[in-house]
Parts: sequence; C-alpha cells; structure tokens
Amino acid sequence: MTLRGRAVVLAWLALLACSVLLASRARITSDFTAFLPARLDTDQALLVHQLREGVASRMMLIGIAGAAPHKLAAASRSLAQRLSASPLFAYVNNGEARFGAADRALVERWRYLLSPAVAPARFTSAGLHAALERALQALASPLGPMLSGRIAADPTGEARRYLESLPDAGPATRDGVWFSPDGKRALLVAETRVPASDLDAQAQAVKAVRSAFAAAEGARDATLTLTGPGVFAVESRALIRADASSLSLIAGAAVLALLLLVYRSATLTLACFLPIASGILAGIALVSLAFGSIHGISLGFAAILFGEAVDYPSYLFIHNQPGDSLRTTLERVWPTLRLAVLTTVLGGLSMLLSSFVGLAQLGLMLMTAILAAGLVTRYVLPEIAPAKPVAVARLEPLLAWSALVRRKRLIRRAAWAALFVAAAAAALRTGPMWNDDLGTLNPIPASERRMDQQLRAELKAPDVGAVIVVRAPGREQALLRSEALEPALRRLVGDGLIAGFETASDILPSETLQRERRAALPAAPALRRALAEAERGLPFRPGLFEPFLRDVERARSGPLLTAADLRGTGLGLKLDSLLFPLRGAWIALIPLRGAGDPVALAARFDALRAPGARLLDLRRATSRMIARYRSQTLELTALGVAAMFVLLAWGLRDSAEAARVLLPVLLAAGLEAVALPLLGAPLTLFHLVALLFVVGTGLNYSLFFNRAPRDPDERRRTLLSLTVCSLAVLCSAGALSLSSTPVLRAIGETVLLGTPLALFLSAGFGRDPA
Amino acid sequence: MKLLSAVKVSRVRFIEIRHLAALTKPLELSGELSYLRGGRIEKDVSKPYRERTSIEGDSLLIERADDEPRRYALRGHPAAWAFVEGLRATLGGDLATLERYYYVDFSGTAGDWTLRLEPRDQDMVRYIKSITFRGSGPAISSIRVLETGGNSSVMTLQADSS
Repeated sequence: MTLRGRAVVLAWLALLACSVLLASRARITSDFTAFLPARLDTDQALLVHQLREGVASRMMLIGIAGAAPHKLAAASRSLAQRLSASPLFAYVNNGEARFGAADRALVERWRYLLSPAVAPARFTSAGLHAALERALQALASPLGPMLSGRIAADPTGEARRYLESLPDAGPATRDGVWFSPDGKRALLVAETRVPASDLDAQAQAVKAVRSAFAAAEGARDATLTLTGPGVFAVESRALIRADASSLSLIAGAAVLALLLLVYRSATLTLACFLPIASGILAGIALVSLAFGSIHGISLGFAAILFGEAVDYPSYLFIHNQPGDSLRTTLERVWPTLRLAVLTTVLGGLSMLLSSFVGLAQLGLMLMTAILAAGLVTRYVLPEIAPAKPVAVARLEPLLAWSALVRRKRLIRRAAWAALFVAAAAAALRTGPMWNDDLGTLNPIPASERRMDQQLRAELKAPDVGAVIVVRAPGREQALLRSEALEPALRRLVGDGLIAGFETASDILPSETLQRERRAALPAAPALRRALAEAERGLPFRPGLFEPFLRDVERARSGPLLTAADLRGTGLGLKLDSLLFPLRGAWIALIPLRGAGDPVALAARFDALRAPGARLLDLRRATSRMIARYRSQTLELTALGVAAMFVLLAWGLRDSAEAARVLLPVLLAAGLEAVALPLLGAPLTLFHLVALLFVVGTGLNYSLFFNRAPRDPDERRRTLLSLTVCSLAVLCSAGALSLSSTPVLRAIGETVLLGTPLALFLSAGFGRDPA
Repeated sequence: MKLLSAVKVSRVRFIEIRHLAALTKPLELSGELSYLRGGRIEKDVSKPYRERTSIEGDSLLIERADDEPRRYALRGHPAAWAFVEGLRATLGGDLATLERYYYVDFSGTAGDWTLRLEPRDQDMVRYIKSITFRGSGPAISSIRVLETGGNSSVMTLQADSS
C-alpha cells in the first residue's frame, strides 16, 4: 500500500470511528408530529399544539368487553378506582361520578361566581321563596337524606345547577357505569397528566392501565381495548423501532446471501458492505447532528439505501476482468460510476431543501450515505480489496432476462403506449391522485383506528374534528369573546348543526361576567330581609340558613375566581386545554361535538362575523398543510431532475446523450406515478421520495447501458453487474414492503415496482450494442 | 321473606310523615306507591304537591310539574343506592341482596312481623341509622327510616281497596 493509500485508509477509519460514536448516541424519535415542518404559520402551530398537547391528545379511551354486563361493570369500577389512585392520570371517569372531590369542593367554594343562574331576581324574596319551596320538596324526596346537609348553605342549589350546566360528556349508564349502546362494552375515559408527545410517560400510563386491568376484579374473562393518541404514539414508536431494526437486518441478510452467491468470496462480499455501512453510519451521525435526533422512519429508509449503495462496489468488482487490477478497472468504470453517485446525491439534495422536516431528514440521510459510499468505493476499496474477477459464465442464468429486451423498438413503443394509456385512464378516473391525510404516516393498523373512532363516538368524547378558535391579545378578552359566542352556539345546537360544545368560559368565566354575577348578590342586610320574607309560611327552622347568608357575603366581598384557583382539579386541567397562550396571543378553543354537516356549519359560522373567532376543521387543515408541502416537494423534485440533466450533460459532454440516459428513467417513474393511484394507492409525499430514489437507481442502470463496452466480455459484465445491483435493490425494497409502517411500506412497494421497470426500460432505450 | 316474594305487582296508598331537623314541623306527604316485578318502583306523591319518582335498575327519575325531569344514576350516590336496594329487596323478598347491604333482623310472627335493617355500607351509615319494615303476611304496613342528624320518617301503607 502506498503512503497515500495508507493515509486514505487511516482517514476513513478515523471518520468511521467518529460516525460510530455519534450514531450510537443518536436519539431516535417516532412522534410523527416531529416530522412536520419546522417553520409554521399560526394555524399550523395551533394544529401541532393540538396534536401534541390538546385535550384530545391526552385522552385514553378504554373499553372492556367479553363478559356478562355485571362483571364488566365491576371491572370498570375496579379499574377506575385503581387508575384514580395513580399519579399518572389527572382524571378518570367511568360514569360513576362525573366530578371528583376536588372539583366538587371548587364548585362549592365559587358557586356564586360560576353558576349561570345567578341574577338579581334570584335573590329577591320571591325568587328565594320559590327556591325554598323547591328545597323543601328535595328534602322530602328519596334523595333527601343526602341533600339535607347541603340545603342550609346552598338553598338555591347553585353548585348542583352549575355542575348540571356543564356539557354532559357521557354515554348511557348501566349498572352505574358507562356502557356502549348495545350493552356489550363498559366504557371509561382516562386523561393522562402528560401530553401525547411525552412518549415515555405515555408508555408508563399504558402499562399502568394494562396492569390495573389485569388486577381488576371481574376482569378475568373480559378483554381490554385501549385507544387514543398517546396509546397510538406509544404503539407506533414500538412498531417503527421494531421495523427499522428488523427490516435493516432482513435487507442486510438478503443482500448478503445474494452477494455470496455471486462472488463466492467472503472477502469481496464483506468489501461490498464496507461502503454502505460507512455511508449509513455517517448518515445517522450527520442527521442526528443536524436535527438533534433521528426519526425512526429515516432509520427504516436506511434499509433501502442499503440496496442502492451496495451497488457501487459491485460495479467495480464485477467489471474487474481477469488480469486487471482493481485500480485499472476503476479507471474505466469511475467516470460512469461518478455520475451515478452524483445524480443520486442531487436527488437527496432536492429533498434536503424541503421545509417538511421529515423529507429533509431523509434527504440528508440519502445524500450522506450515498456520497460516503461512493467515496469509500472510489478511494478505500482499491487499497484494501483483492482483485478477484468474477466468472461470468457461471452466472449466465441470471442474465436470461436480457433476452426480453432484444426487441428494443417494441419496448419503446410499448412504454410510450403504456404511459399514454395510463395517463388517459388517470385523467378519466375520479379517485384521488394524492392522499394528504396525515394519518397515513401513522403505522397503527386501520382496524385499531376504526376502533378508536367507535369508542370515541360511544363515549361522546371530543374528536379531532371541528373547533372554533378564538384569538385575543389577552386572557380576559379571549374569555369575553368566547362568552359572546355562546348564544349563537346554543342556536346551532338547537338547529341540530352541532351536538354540543365546550368553552373555557364555562370553567373560568371572564372577570366581567364574574363581576356581573357578584353585583347580582344583595348586601347582607338586604339578603337577610329577603330571606326572612321568603321563609314566611315555610316550616324551616329559624337560623337554618345562616351558612347561606355567610357564603353569599363571602362571594360578594371576596376575590374573583382565577386560573390559579383551578389548579389541581379536573376542571382546571380542562381549562388549560381550552385556554392557553400561543405566540404572544391567547387562544380560547371551543371544540364542537357532532358536527355532521361541515359546509352548512361553516356557512352559519361565517355569517356570525364573530371578532377574532375562526372555525377550524383540524382534519382538513392538516390535509391542506400536507398538500402544500407535497406541491413544494413536487417543485423541488422537478428542480432535482433538471439539475440531474445538467450534471449528466456536463459529465457526458453531450446533452443529447444526457437526454437519452434520462428519458427511460423518467418514463419509468412517470409510468409508475400514474399507475400507482390507478392500482388503488393514491400518492403521498413519501411515494415522491421513493420515485426520486427510483430515478436515482434507474440512472445508474441507464448510464451503464449507454456506456460503450470495451469488448463482449465487458458487455456481459455490465449486464451482470446491473442485474446483481437491481436484485440487491429488490431485496431491500422487498424487506421494506413488509413493514407495518405505511410510510416505509409505501417506499418499499414503489421501489419494488419501479426498479425492474427502470432496468427494463433502460435496457430497452439503451444504446445498441452493435 | 317468602311471603313477600310471592307478591307480583302491588299498588298501595301511603302517608309519609317526615321529621326533619331543618324544619319546625313534620312534612306530610301522601300518594301511591307501586311495586312492579323486575324491580321497578314508583312513588307518586299527590299531596301537598305532585311529584313522581320512579326507580328502575340503577336510574332514579324525578318528575315534577314545574321542573324538567331529573335523572340520577344511583351508583353515583352509594347511600341512595343502598337505600333503594334495601327497599327493592324487601319488596321483592330477596334476602341475599338485603344481607349484602344490611344487617338483617327479623322478629314476630307471620301475622305481625318486624324487619329491621342496619346498613353495612360506610357511605350509607353516614346518612341512615336503620330502616324498619312492619307487616302482616305478604303486606307491608309501615316503613320507618331513622336518619343521622335527627331526621326520621314513617311511611304508612294501606292496600288499595280497589
């Protein structure tokens, strides 16, 4: 080895060591909101806030089924009791009691500022008389024994009235707990203290529910169903992690077997792995440096890079003819190989420029891994790998497919015809070309997502659907605006456009409204006089209502209710999710339940012209956001392809030649792009990534097919190397297509279909060997 | 108990007198009490105001002329639940359920018996000291409830002549 060679190998080893160090420390994430764009406008920021922190994101929906109703009810009670005792949950409800002790105490304390019924007329002698008559009846009712303690302090029933005024969140009860309408499933909701984005804490919460259920009485025969954003986030992390590691292993093993078969040499096979192993390590290191962490999806993507970059050494080794050193072979192959590497890097660059963080990560991963693999192939392999020419004759059967591409003219015509037919079919077709649902990023099986929706509907839990966003410069204004909307919203409920709504001002009335209620409370002497008059003719013991007089006076002269007073209660938790500061303004959310007709709702809402309030359909807004990034990606892809053309024209010193190389590959990618939606797979952003990848590998094939071979042996070697390389890509794409993560599966399947197509068309459009 | 369990449907008139610590004089209510097989109980108050309370399963519904009907899930109010279960179990002759909620003491003869219940449930002990049923044969003649805090009530039942 020359001095220079030694220096190169040493430098490579040093860089490799750095990469290993960095890669081993990389933090792996799988929260798919982390995949969202880094720079967000206010609506998008709100969306992400909702997805990550919103009340719906903390909700765990629990179903217990598979046993007799009384057993399910017992299991539900036992589970609720255990979970309520856990510090992981802020709020657990199975229908037994809607409010916890802390909430009841809070409402008790602040009832005269909270109750919507507080008005001057209520505290006149006539108003009080009516209230006292009612209290008397309540005392005589079967619930009397339980109410008698409350009547002295709250004869007008403000606390109860307030609690009853809050939107009823529950389904019908049976045996005292919530049940699905068919009576087969007991239902519970649990709200975790931490948001869905805190995956470790969410994982703990999921475990807590499962072990509490296992220990719950009556749960032996029953089965537990657990859904919700946090649950799904935890599951998808596990799935993505398992996928990323197992798929890389499968891809690696398949490629290993292929290379051993071709080379019959452990040394050459190992040497084939060195460039891409270096490349992937460098990619992980650089991505985690640049982004602070690496997404599980980017790791899974490494599996497919494997298939591509393992090609570079293969081009070198297979082209190595008997009697040649690796260095002489490299001299002949490198100009073509260099273009192959650089065009793929350009593809990665166009992804790196995307403002969609997920794509940028994939782009950086791709560029780094491919570039590193190319450099290691070029500079390191000739120093350390032996020249061991492959006996082509032995592998002749692998080349049998090339008989298919002899009739080049036919293939060309067929390709164009197929493209036109597919394009025409796509134009006539009504189905969507693009799928912009963020949920497609979610690896959770559709059956579980359906179960989630069903539980949500049965529990009447808020879904991530329509919400009114009230924005104001301060908290008080946000509450005022929210209060101002309430009459209109009640009309919408009356007209059946929505089933119900929740507001922050129900829990924390604006200071203005609280003052108004306080002003409705009479001063102590006036109230005493009114009460004495009201008691006339009623058999209440004299002095019974002293606690009432005391409490009203305390509310009248005491402080207003503030957010701080609500801390540590279920109501306070709800308030935090409905009222929060965001980017220097205050947001009050009004989630709408059961919005059946979004168009009619939007029309009615627009007609209100409510200041600072907007109706936001979270699902549609998310899709719009994804669509925006999709079209940006499309533009970047077009730019990337243009850059590839320029690069090819420079490298081949002939733009006609560059066009000839590029044409079959673009044709293959185009054919696939129109065919995939026809086959029932509307394109997502990640299909674009996969297509870009198909273009990258396809260009390798096309470049080699258009390279003039030195002799028939080299021609066969080229054919063999391309065959082996595309088989390697198929191995890794095949592994990826087994993934349970839709993103990875989409990439795998697209490459699985596109690679043979690109190889076939490149051969068909390639220069005649004559 | 056996005699009671033979009753399928019964409808009786009642007069209930409640002594409440909060009041200076007892409250007197009268109306009709119906017990229907399957555990449905209806208490129709006709005097001094109209009010209908019906209990079915664990739900308690109170309807008044001047107010919206109110429905309560009794499991959320353990004391009320135990009370209703006691009433229902006695009317239905269900000793097993009765003993789940109460210490049961039966005395007297078939022609003149007394059934005294003391709650086991801690929640209910806070509100109720004892419930005493008196009767003759399959007919209950009175129900006396002693509450904590000095409240008590006596409900006298008389079989409807019709």
